[in-house]
Amino acid sequence: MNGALRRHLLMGAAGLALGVTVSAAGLSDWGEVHRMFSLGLGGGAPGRESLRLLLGFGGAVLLAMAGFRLLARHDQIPVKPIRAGTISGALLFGAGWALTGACPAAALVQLGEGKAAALATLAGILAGAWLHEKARRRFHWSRHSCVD
Amino acid sequence: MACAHTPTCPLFSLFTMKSSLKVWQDHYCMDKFEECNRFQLAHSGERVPPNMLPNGRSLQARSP
Amino acid sequence: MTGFLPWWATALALGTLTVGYWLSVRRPLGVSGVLARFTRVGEELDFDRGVAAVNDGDQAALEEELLALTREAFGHVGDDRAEAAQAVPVAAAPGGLAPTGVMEPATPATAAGRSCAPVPPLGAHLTFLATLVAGGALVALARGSWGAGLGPDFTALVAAGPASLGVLAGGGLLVGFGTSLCGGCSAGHGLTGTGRLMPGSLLSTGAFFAAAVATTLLLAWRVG
Repeated sequence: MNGALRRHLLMGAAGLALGVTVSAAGLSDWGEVHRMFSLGLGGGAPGRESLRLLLGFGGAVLLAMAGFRLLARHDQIPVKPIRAGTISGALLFGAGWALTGACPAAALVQLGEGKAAALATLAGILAGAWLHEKARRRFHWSRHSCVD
Repeated sequence: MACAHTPTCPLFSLFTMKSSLKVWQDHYCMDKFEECNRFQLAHSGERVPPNMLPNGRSLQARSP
Repeated sequence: MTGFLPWWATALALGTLTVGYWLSVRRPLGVSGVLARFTRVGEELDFDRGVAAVNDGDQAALEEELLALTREAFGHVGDDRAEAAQAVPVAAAPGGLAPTGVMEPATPATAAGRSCAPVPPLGAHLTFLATLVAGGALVALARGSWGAGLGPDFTALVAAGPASLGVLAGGGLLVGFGTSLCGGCSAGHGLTGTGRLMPGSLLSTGAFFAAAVATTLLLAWRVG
């Protein structure tokens, strides 16, 4: 079907662009991610090189801010309110990211880069998401309004 | 008492379109909305399938 | 010697992607939620089928079915079609059920802004994840680094050998549970959410960065 094919092409282009960017930026490189979170305080010579990803990420946020303001000012984008699990969930994620060197996107990119160990990370991520869904139902936490 | 979800429920507006479908509104939306499966799902924070009717039955729409 | 993009190119690429994703896909960019869908495939496919039923199904058949289910639930409700034809001509408009918005979320596009698209079917998200993997492969092949390990920093600071797989799986568990709990990851909260100054995303991003920095310093301190 035409609409379905268009959707696959669009999502495919987006995935490819994100995958290439994450890999080329070094966000799927354990050492680079480690240096980003070191804030130039340890693990390698401090200086501009260890702040590269930090500046990159911060710059991206500023750029996105300007972009949304200029190009999507009146768009109805789903909101992200503060919820019961916001802080605790984010703390767990941060610790996991620093250990594995992988945010969810980076785990997939690492897999593409042929880093076989990323299979363990990915299995863990899926298990964690599955476990959360079980707990969410068990304890009647409400679902986040937005899927992604 | 009417269901609080009537402004956003796509089925509510659908039931307004045809007088023969108004029975759903009269029975669920305007009266026993707490028995509506859509209300119950939404109330417990779950996603509501777009093809689900208030009594829990689903529209299947065989392909033409 | 790192061979990675300079900071400004990283910022340019990620920022453009974040905004461009919204403008083209009309969904906020995010990965953790997409990944989580694949832990409940059956349920997600059921939902997709429901969406497709009201969206792509034969509208006349759908109306027929709706009237049949109405009769089933409430008994005889009059000569449905004759009544429908004369009482409410709107329903006879081409497209049948569709214009009433059974499918579209309750946020119609306004003249001023674009509305959010419904969640794409699972297959489209599979394409997204698969091409994300392909993107990594492309860069690694171009660099000639395909198949390398996680690197000397990881072995020195965390673990080596089979033990490292346990650490990675455990860390992955934290990532999967954590992102599901806070409702986003570095893309959904870190880029899209903070880019729009969403309170939940600002708080999340602050918290996961702080936790990551603390964990990282702990790792470095442990080794000395």
